[in-house]
Amino acid sequence: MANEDYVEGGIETSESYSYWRKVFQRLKKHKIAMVSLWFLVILILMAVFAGPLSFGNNPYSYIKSVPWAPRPELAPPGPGHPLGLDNMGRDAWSRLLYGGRVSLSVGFICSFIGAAVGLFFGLISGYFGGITDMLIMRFTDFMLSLPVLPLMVVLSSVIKGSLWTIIFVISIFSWMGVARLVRGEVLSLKEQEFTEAARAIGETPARIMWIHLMPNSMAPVIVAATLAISGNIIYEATLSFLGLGIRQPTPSWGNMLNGAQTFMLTAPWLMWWPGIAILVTTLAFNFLGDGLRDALDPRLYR
Amino acid sequence: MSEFKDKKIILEVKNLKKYFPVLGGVFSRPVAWVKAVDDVSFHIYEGETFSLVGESGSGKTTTGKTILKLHEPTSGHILFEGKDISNYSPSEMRPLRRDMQIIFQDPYGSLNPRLPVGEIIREPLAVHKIGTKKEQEERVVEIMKLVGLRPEYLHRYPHEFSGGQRQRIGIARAVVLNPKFIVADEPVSALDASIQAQVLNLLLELQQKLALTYLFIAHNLAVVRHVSDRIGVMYLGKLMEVADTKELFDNPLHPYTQALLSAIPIPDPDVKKERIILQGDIPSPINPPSGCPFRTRCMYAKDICAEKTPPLVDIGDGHYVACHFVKKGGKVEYSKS
Repeated sequence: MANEDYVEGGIETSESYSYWRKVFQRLKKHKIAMVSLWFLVILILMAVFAGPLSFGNNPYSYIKSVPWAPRPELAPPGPGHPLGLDNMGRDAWSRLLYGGRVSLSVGFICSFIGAAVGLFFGLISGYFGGITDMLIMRFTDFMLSLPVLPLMVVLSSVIKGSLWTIIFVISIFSWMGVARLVRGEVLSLKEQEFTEAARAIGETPARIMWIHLMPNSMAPVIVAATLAISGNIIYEATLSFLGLGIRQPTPSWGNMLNGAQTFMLTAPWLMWWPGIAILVTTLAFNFLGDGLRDALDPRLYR
Repeated sequence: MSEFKDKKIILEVKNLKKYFPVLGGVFSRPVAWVKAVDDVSFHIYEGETFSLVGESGSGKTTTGKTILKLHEPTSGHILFEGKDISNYSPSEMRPLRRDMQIIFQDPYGSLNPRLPVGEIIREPLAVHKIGTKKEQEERVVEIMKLVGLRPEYLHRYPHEFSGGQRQRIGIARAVVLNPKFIVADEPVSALDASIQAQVLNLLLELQQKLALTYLFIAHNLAVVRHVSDRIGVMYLGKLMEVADTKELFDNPLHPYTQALLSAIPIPDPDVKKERIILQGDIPSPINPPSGCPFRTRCMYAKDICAEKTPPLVDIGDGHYVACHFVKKGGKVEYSKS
């Protein structure tokens, strides 16, 4: 055959398109997921630009006095302070924005660590099988059977808390689901001929896992990690609410709720906003996760 | 016959066995063994195409993959260019992978759906650290041209190609390292008839250009006749007959080979031929028949067939047959029982 006659056939397209672009096109058709995605983007931008959005206030300084209330502590909403002031006279709007930084970071970072650790164990367990698989999976079962919340409470009261200790404590308990998912994917992927082809080329197990198995098992991991973000935000809020998470004066949605509960009857607005923020954010992550699940569904793909 | 008589042997397989465990019970212990390849010996000369044919489940694919150490052999020896590689570890095998490659049957399952075609073909070069990245990319373009793929398609993903094109990608991946020996595991059986010929001709053309030796695995005798120099007929993990292609088709001596050949349609309505129809199915390789594995379906079977396993013997001129009733010189002594 001369080099000029190439075989034709297959799908003719003007340009190549990657798997991820197709996924995004399908996601765009999912209305609730797209609304959630835009909401989350705005929320993240608000957390990033918390400083400029605080109208000259900051979450740590005590306001000396406000014109519309006799005392600055627990003052209701007014000009310059859209959500009022908390029990120590700090601007609640500013604290909500900065608290979002903490809550979202904890949600994202814990999910990321959980997914990475889960991927690591899942790949090794599924690829090597045998005794390695058994040990890792029994350890995973053991972790899953632990009562998470009481243990988190105990752990975070022993290693007292900055942002990073909270992240550490939550991450310990957030990798098992991903590990199981990935192991299952790998068990089916390693039977496929492209894994065998990789071995025939002489690839090392590490390279096979990194180049072939991991990218092909990412879809369920992304869904699981997105859904886990909302769970992690709730864990952080719970621990902070119990006084074991993020400590004052650093704001987080959880410890704002904790501070507000004493004044539920006298200043109810202080409770509403962090509560609503947690509720809406976790809902949005769940909707986005569902949309991603549909967009990544391999039965629709190809 | 043998223009190959004085040729160099590139691969020799001696008494190769591959048993797969059937796990069962509480502790996942092997309760039985699937004898996928059971005492197979043959050799392949440099530059030839040696074909393995047989029904599904006869162990031909397992033989091919075991030779490349994709399966660990249960026992026996594999000699590649004189070196016994049967006990080589994966890291000892790695440098040899440059010389021994495989083309897979399934053009869909054998390509990673998340890698663009250029990366799939470059992967072997990257693994063996051959040249700089730029040199590797040039080599990929060169190979794509060689197998008849547009180099512009470098950045496309496997799902954007047809079955025939995908098989060309698989072939490009196998030849990019300039191997000496390639196992072609039913490379055309998943393709449309019109595409089969194109891919077969590509394989033959590459064999000429790159001086390749093929172990060609197939179940379609017409395809095999077209490409092979010598043929081995497998049944239930054992070789029944090995001969030159012409010799095998003109003078099949094993009853199983005769049955297989009688199944090839003749494109002439006036020719009446005797069709040998085998009764029943291929027996389970977990519990194969005693003695000759083919005896349960053989119309000439006698008592001796159940008692003794016939060895694969050279009856002259490189024609090997495993049957109690075929003697030296091709003298046949079987009769209907």
